[in-house]
Amino acid sequence: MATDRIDTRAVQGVLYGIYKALHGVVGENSAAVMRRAAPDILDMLGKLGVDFSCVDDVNKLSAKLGETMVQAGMCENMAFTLNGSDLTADITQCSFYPLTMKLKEEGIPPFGCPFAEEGIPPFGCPFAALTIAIAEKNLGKRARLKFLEPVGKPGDTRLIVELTDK
Amino acid sequence: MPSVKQKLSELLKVDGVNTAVVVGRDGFVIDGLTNGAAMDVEAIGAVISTGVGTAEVMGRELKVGAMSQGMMEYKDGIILMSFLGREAITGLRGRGQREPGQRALPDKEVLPRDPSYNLDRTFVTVWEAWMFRGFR
Repeated sequence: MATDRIDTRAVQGVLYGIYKALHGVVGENSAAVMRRAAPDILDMLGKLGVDFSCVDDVNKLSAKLGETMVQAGMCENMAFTLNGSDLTADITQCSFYPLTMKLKEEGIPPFGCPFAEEGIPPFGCPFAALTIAIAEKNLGKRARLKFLEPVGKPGDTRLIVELTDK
Repeated sequence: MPSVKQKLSELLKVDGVNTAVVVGRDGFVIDGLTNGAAMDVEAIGAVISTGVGTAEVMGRELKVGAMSQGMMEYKDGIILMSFLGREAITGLRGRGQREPGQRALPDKEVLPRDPSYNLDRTFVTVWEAWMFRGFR
């Protein structure tokens, strides 16, 4: 198998079809599907050898998730800061930016990064999904995406997840 | 101003209502109460949100305007979903098993107008979904 040669264009093509169909069926509430999918993404990654079970505090979450995303080619850097109940992640050069732009052109709330419209939750962002899933599963928190917008250069993104006690 | 939990508690006092949940568009359950019925919070949040989303798309495709509320009637109960705006909460009550000629929703009850209940989140500015399950 050529699993070490996966091209992000192929991934973006598949995701484009899925997200477009999802938005066509569920509309602006597509984010609920991604929230529902997040724990399963985490489980599948674990079965594929990407294990987050060692993450039991925010510092480890920052280190492990950031490192994993960079190693997987999802972005060039992912840095976390915790301020009160807000966990902020700054993502540098998201690899799915072309997909984000294409979805935006078609009026679909974006995969990942920019252009989230007021009142419409962005959906599909894998960085947000994994942050939420790990926070809820490993840290025992309730987590909700609070902010997701572009910052800096095209492809750079900031997401904020609000953590609350269960 | 009563909290969301207090308001949900009031709704549960309505005869026949055994579950009341406030859900965001992203499926996040903001709050919910039941009369002892088991509830998978994450599953409920997801299905309410996507159910409302699909119903909105259906309305858009069929060109019947914006959705204001939705109701599904099952053998053992009714699920009612309506939108919670900044200005008011609308509650409905009804019966799951109708007698011939009886309306599914015999009473409509508009709860006291209140401000936003602090539900105005970054991306939950327009409305939230309510669900009332299990009218008898």
